[in-house]
Amino acid sequence: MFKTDVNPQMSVPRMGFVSAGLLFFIAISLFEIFTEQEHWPFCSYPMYSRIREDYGLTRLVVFGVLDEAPHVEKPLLKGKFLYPFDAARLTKNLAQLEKFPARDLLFQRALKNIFKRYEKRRKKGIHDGPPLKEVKLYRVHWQLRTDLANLEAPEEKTLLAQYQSFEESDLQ
Amino acid sequence: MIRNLWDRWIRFWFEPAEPVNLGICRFVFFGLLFAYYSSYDFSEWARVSTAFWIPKDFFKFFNLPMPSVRIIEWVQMLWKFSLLLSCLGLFTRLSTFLALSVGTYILSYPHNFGATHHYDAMIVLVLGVMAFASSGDAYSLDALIRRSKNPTSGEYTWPIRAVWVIIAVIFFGAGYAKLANSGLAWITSNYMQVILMQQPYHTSAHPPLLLWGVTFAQHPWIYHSFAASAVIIETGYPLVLFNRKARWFFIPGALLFVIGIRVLMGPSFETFLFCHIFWIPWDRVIGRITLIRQGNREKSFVHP
Repeated sequence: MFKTDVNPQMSVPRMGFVSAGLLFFIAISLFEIFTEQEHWPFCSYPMYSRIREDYGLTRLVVFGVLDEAPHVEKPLLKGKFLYPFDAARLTKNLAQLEKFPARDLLFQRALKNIFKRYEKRRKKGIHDGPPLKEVKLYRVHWQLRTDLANLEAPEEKTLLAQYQSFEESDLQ
Repeated sequence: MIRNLWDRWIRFWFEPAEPVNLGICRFVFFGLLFAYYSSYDFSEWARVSTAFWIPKDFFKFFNLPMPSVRIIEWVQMLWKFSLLLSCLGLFTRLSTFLALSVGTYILSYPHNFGATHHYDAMIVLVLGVMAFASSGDAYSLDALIRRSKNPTSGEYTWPIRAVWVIIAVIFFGAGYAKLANSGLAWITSNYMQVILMQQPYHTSAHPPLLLWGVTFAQHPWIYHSFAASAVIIETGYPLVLFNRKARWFFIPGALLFVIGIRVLMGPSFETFLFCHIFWIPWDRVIGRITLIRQGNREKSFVHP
């Protein structure tokens, strides 16, 4: 082993073990970064790295139909309505479910669960959202605006699935 | 040449140090993690429909099923307890190892519901360092019980430097991805304007704290400056490993950058802030505080 004027006060095998671990981390991290792969917790961090210059935004969004007439539809975007999901994670999840052959069934089960959880948490007073009679899943398209005037009324909406509760247990 | 490299390697990673800095870093880091996660209930994920379950990471690799509520409750309790023990420095070797092994499972668990979030990857890597470090030799209950004074050693240097490297690699990865995928157009195009405008439409896990982003999006010089600073700070961050002067720019810059993302865009990277405590020279901070206290005592002695 080469001599150095630094005396680490550590055994050579221990220094070798630590050095090997450090080299492993550096090598695997750089590999993930340069090949743009993700093996969490070793990630390449590509979020927001590909530019998109258009002002349109297309996403899958769950809307709640208010129980009170005239049964207005409102997007469920706030985390407290979707907990433990947030709107971003839910959108990504639903977009992945859409790729499965059994997507209609999966959407139904997902919407039922979202509805039940929303109502259960509302009745417990965990959130202050209005009572719902139905939830609907839309593919929506917004034209981004700085005044956010279209936040609750996107320019395009395509219905993908809906769930209306007829079960007494859902509403308790 | 090789000899020179070896010398630099040893000097960077294993220069002998007192156990104080590492001990305080352990105490603060695990304390912050415990405070941050103590109120978060992972078992809520076990209560959502299995329709949402899309296995990822090692859940997919090992074909692990969606765990029951009871299992997640026990696992998260064990993890939070291990964080507390690690913070206090009691059975430090065991508790930091538990914090890593159980933490890897519990932190990756929500990823199976649609998205791998990146803010917790740095935490797991730092937990990995602490699991193999001798971090319980100072400012710990273990040290109090043992009552032995530890000599200086490289054992107290490499874990701190390893966390520096982890932070640098992660920031560099984000900066490199921008330049590799979009080049300088990431700065010169209107993309930052689009990012700032789309955040209020709930495109990230948390909404922005302030709606200033849409106002800034109307001023090209502001959003181009934001984009340029992001690329410079992220890509240039590794300089802090080799240049002390660079630390005065990149470290505060990175902290402001992370805070700015939370305020204007929404994504929360508080855990990145926690890891920056490893940059603080705690021994010098304590020395300065002690000097100030002594000064005050002397003043009060002269002027009662």
